[in-house]
Amino acid sequence: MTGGLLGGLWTASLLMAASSVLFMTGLVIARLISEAGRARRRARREALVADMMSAMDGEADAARLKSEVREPRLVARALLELSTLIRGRELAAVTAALTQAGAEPALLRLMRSRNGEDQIAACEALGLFPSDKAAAALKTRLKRRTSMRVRIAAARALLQMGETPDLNDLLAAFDIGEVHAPLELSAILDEIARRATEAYLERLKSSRDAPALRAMMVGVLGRLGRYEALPVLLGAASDPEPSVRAAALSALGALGHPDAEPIIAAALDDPVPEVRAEACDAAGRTALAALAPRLAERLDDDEWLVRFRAASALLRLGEAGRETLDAAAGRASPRAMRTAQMVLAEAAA
Amino acid sequence: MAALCGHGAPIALLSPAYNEAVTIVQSVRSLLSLQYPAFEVIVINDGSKDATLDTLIEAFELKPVSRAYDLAVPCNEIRGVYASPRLPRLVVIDKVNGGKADALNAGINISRAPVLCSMDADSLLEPDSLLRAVRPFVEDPERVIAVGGTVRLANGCRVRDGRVVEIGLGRHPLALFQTVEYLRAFLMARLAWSRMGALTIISGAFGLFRREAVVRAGGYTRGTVGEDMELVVKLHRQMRREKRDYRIAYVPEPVCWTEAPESWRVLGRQRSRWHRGSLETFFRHWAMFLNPRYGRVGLIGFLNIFIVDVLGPVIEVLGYILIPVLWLLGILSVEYLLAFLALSFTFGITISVCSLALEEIQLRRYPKARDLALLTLAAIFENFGYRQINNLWRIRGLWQYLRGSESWGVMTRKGFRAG
Amino acid sequence: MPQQSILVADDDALLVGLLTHRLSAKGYAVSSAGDGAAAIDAVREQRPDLIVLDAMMPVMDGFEALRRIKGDPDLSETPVVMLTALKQEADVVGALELGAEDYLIKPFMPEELLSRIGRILKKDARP
Repeated sequence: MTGGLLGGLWTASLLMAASSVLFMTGLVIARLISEAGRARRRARREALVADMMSAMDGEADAARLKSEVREPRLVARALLELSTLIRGRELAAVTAALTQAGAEPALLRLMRSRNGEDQIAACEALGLFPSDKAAAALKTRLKRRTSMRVRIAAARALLQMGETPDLNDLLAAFDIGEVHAPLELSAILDEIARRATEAYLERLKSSRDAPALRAMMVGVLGRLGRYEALPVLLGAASDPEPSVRAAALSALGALGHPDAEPIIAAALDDPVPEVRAEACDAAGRTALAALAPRLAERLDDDEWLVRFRAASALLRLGEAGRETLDAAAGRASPRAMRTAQMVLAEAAA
Repeated sequence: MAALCGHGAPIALLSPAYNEAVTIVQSVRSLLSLQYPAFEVIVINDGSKDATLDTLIEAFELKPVSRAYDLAVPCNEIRGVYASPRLPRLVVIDKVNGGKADALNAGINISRAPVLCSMDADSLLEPDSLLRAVRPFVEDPERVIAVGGTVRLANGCRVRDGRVVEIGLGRHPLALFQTVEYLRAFLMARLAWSRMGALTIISGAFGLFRREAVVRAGGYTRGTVGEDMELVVKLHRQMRREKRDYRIAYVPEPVCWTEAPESWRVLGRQRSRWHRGSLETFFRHWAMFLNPRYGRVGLIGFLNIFIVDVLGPVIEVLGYILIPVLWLLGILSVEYLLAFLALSFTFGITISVCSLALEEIQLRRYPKARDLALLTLAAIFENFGYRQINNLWRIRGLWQYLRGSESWGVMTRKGFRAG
Repeated sequence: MPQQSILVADDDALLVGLLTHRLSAKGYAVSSAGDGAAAIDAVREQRPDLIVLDAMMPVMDGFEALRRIKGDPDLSETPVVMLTALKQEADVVGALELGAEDYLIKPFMPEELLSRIGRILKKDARP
């Protein structure tokens, strides 16, 4: 009985030790193999880049390119990298030579690969081969509700071809958590909003998207700078989600339309500090001098961020705001006084 | 809060500096070149005795400015604020010395961003660290109040001008042991704790916090040894008290590099200090221990600290004392002793190997197959000697805590050589 | 006229390869550096006739390298063409104010870069 326990202990530890060591040996061997593979791929890539450069000079070696296109994964990546560096005639010469070599069908095949990274590279590279067939394939890809990153890549490629991706396809079953490059997505939304403003506003009005996405979409409207967005923004400024409200007020500030005054005034009393802070900013940027007394109240806000933004907004209001701020610096609650004094000092320096 | 915590929410980087004249310019420069749409770098000169402030003023053409700031959390007197018209993202605060927690509090007061990033003066951030670490704030803007990230060791990496330009592996055995420790602590333990909602530490080398939550919790506690752990516990406590639904998240991708001591003496001091910090936090907040009001943090998180940090070293040392005694008395079965020892060692190795495998499969940051083999060896050999010495250091930390020792272990830095 | 030399400072091997190819086809002698600090060392040693400088590089960024080159009376005469993905007004204006002769944004048109370089060097050669 006790002997059994002793043996068990030893067996367990030997098993653990052996499996750990075996496992790590396996990993090291796997790594050695992949290192060798990587070296081979690097050599092939270098050959491809050299051939692409010859193509730029109009001396493309058709036969070599044809064989290289059989590895579309490599072609897609090298071409994408090249397209972040150069544009114009040279890039067109490369894509023309690659088209001759059959790159487009190869990339369409790569788009159906099971590997997500390959799909993304294929979509993005296809954007450099504008054709009806490629556009149709990208639109189909966009309709499939699979990986967000692939759909974003497809949307970007379509935009590059001069096509407008369907917003509803792009945003179907959208998961903001999957967005690795938020700036890229918001640039895509900027472009879609510019080209299909009506559909964009329609989508926002339906308010079925996740708060983080809606906040981002509202932010896009601030940069769009089109007054027809005003009604949607005014609606978003009283959205139940604080993130959306704050984004809407920030966009209203960027738009600077005086009709927003009542909404901005109401938001100065929002329960969420960040929304109040954005409302202060918006009042300042829209030059709503009539709101100066309300901004003065915010100088005594519980949150420093709001107090500071209120004082800064007053500074932007010109004469009336400046007077209000001067008055507050002389006679108000201690924290309002301190805020006013410090912001005035900062402005004077 | 959410809009500002969304994509591209402004972040204030708080970089406390005490006698960093040699390295400060290059580290600030590398901070200024981080990839992020909106951030400000706030360097807090904590009353350095060397030329830290003058070096900064000269290198960045700083001028004294007047800047409106908050008095939200206590800190020592701010003597001056400096900025440069050429670099709108940089703010330098000069203040009366008060320690790291005090310096960070000054930074919190000065900052104007809804998200704070606290770091050590010698933290080397990955260029995309902010973009990565801010993601939990985006995914769950209403609840996430803090995000920790994986800290890696810069030993053996090629570092130039405050940035890791080539990943490598230190060759010193102490660096190897610590690499395994860090992988285990960050990849396995912290990820698991954060999933459970009971993460009790975010490394002082890199952490993102929502400013408003930190201010409500009263900022950093001045005069503590482990102010980073203490703040996270305080945040838990505050949120639970306010009955707020909150989350402290963790991103497993490496965001920050730090240099590990390669001298036994310095490492020993660091470990004693960490242990003392952990004990201090535990006893300062012992009301949370097993208190159902504090949910999983109180039950599991604190139980973990209690077993691992409070009891662990004592029990292990008792074992070292009792085993020879019992053996002399003839009560102890040597066979069982060896069998249990073997089991505990191999268990430790298995855990380490699992974290190595996790790193290899998910992240693959170590470039060479040889590095992987070396780390495996380190995972095995750390059990023979290093682990035991580590325990002695923790006992020393306990002793210092009991004595209420005020002597801080000074971390002497090796300094990054260019090239 | 002796062969004119150009230093390409960029951490992207593809770009360095591309420019080396295009510039040497035009008859320039081309050398390269992978970061800002290496670029400054190379400028001191090789005294190129012109520098093509990237902005976002490891170790030392291009703006800092530009500031040091233009701040060094020994090197400040060397014309610098910034070639970078940074397209913000502040970056462009900042670089020109620091003394850069020209500023091109990636993705750029190689032909354009070549003709701008040609113009700067011709102007430079005039007594």
